[in-house]
Amino acid sequence: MDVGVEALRRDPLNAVLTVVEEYEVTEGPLNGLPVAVKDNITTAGIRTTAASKILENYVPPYDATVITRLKKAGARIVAKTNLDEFAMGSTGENSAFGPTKNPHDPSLVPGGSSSGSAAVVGAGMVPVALGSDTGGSIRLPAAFCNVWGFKPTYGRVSRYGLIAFASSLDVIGPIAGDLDILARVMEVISGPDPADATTLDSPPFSYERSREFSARGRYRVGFVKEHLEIVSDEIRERFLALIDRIGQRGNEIVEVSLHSGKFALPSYYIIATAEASSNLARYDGVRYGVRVDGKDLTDTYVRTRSLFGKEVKRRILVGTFVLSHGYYEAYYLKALKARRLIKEEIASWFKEVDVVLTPTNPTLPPRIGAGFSPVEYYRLDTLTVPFSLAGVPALNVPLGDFVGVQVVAPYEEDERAVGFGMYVSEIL
Amino acid sequence: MIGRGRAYVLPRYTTFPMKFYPTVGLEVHVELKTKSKMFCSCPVGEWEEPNTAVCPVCMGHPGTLPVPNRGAVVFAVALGLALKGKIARVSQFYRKNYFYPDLPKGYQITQYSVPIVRNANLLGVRIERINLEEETAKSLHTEDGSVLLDFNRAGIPLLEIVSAPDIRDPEEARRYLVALQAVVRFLGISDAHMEKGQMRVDVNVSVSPDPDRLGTKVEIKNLNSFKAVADAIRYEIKRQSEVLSSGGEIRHETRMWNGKSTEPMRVKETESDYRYFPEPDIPPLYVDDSVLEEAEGMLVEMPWEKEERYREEGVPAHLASILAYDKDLSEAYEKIKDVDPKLTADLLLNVVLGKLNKAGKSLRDFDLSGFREFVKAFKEGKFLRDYLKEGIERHISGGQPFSEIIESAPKVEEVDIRPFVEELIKNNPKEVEKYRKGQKGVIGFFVGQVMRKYRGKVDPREVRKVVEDLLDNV
Repeated sequence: MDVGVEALRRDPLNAVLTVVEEYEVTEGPLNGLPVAVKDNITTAGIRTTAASKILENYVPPYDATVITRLKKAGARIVAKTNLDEFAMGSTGENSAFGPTKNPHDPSLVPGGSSSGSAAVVGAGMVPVALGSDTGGSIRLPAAFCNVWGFKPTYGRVSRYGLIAFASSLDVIGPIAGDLDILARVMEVISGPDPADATTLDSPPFSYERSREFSARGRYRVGFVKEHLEIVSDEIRERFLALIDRIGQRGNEIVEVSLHSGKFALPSYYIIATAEASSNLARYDGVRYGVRVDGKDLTDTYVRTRSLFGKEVKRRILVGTFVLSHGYYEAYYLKALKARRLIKEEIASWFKEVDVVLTPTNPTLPPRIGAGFSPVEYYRLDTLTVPFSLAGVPALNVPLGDFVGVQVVAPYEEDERAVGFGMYVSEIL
Repeated sequence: MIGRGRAYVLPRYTTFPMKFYPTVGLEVHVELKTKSKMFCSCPVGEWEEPNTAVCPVCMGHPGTLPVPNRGAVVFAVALGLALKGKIARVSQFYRKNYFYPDLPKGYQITQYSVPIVRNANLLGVRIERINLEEETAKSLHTEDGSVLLDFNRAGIPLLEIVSAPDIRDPEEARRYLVALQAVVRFLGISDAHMEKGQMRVDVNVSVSPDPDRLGTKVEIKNLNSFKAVADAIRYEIKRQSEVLSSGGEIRHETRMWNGKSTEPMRVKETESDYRYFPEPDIPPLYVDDSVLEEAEGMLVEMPWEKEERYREEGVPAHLASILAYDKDLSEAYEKIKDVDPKLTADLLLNVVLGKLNKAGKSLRDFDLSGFREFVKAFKEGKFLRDYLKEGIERHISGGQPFSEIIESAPKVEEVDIRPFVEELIKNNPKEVEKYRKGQKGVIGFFVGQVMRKYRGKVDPREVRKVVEDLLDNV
């Protein structure tokens, strides 16, 4: 296997869009830790493309808050990684710069949208990478690439500098080969940020609290009944084996239900596309990025925005439709209502259990270029979107061989999700 | 509910075979003069160089996020309180989506279903809502057809003040605007200069033959002065009345004021769908007690209250109504009024203002404390009334300081005019006879003679007293 920072330059997986050649290292707790960063997180002076033609030439004038914090803590940003364009996709194939390959089988997709970040970590090129997760974009590729991937509570990590896909769902989180490193990175990047009005007031993530939770033992562990009915046989077997093992250790296993789960995927795709249609309006070629001049203003808009890829265009159109006069109530408002139901139902689980486990991926990763229909690809997110809609933390635990399990914890209890992950890693 | 409290017939249009009831609503945008912009920390101000007061946030760079400016919230609440509106303790920002080069994000952050202020009132005109929102960039269309953009303006806090269709005629619209401009200036939340675009007005006009039903409304844009607003409303009422009385129909459209008439916008506006939805980057906006208290602390005497007080202080009604609605004038008045309120108001409005205008100057170029001393000197009898106008003129056009003007005033001499008056009486027995018979007008004859002899040294009112006194005792 091709490993190390040198490998980032060779980039056998097409996982890297920019290798950062020059950097200053500040002294800090992360002590020179190399970090790869998904290319939808802004880095001052370093091209940031969101894997889109429309931002092919875009060099941001500022660092995202997470980048500022990482640098201050002594990390080195070593690469900007490939992704599905504007984080829209579940396989990594929607990049304008070509698909990323799975580090464990180059014929398979690495999962998306944080495809490059999961791939470079899965290949061992870097110990940790930042991804972003809107409906599963950290957890799914982490599962497909056999690495840890954490979607924190919405608002626990600043989004300032994260190129927006769906603002009410987007979260930045770490992908790592080692859970301790993931937790250390969480400590650095989390916490309130005056530049992001949606960050929570809660203090930064605490590694210590995770450790404490992992040492507690005697957990009440839930699993989601409906999810086991929709996953493929091999995923179900692997998941039940884990549940068995956890039960054998004297933990209580509780079946929980997500009745509103059937609304999750459709309402997710309504809310996410609605927000995306507005978030992507700024790419008009007027102030930055690529402009394709036309015969008049409208023509310039049309030609410039034709640079978006097919999936991005599809979502902008869907999002524009669901917000349109006469459809807003039927789609967008209804989706918000469903989201509330899902959130409430998930919150109610934690009266009876400490954490909930559920598979991350419903199936094994498809082959690159499998050519499924859009909806079939959307279904890859079935098990991850409910927790995005609820805003709760979810950690992908890699079971190996392209299978992952999510540890879901209550809102703002990020340490609990990571702590239980630590516990599981000891009994695997 | 359209609030037709009073039946109203426009006499001006009674030459038409039908009578029409006009209805006007105003949408006013006011730029707030907060320290920083609405959603970023860029300074608010007037800049020589374009695109210097900008940052990634107000340029709409990828990944940036808006953070509401508390100061702007306080200003909005202050206006809401001043206009007796209902303040929403929790309101919500929305995105208004449309494409235009001056709109950095492809959407404007504004308010929609829950604005920060509702149900306010100004001079009896209901204000339905006040939205807190952000400015767009300024576009400059050059001769070669290109568009230059200045983002210094993008993101300046903006209040959108939407009236109910309660206004009946051009003059009422003008009064409403004068009052609104005065209120925001007195509160210190905006300079509200129309010519600088700090205050902008869109007008909705409709006419209807039925006083209980609204006609089709027409929006008028490109109104850059109060006069333009009044003229455009007057024109539009007439136009619509003519169209209707000749059997035509009013099109729901946007028209431009060209200085003489309104014309349909060249670019046909398609029915816009702004796809409003709640701004996910900003949590609900809470007006907490500290914001409310700060806004309350900004409240000052409102112009209509000032007007009342000025009248009580002895200023004639027609002068009080002008003084009270002009920030600079009322401040000038307040500085000098203890010398003599009525005289101060009279001089400011009838002398000073006219001479300043003629000289192309403003009240800011006028030495108020010097002027105060000047008026005081007159009240102390150091010179005669005639010299007031002359002194003001010398200060404004000649730039002479008031201290010198007071110094060089012709001294009021203690002249005894009695011997001269007695002599006049002796030499003009016919006139005296007329006076005895009740022709009081003849006093003027004597006063005139005295004034000619003692020009600039005596006060005509004093002279009149002496003349009357002596004539009565002949």
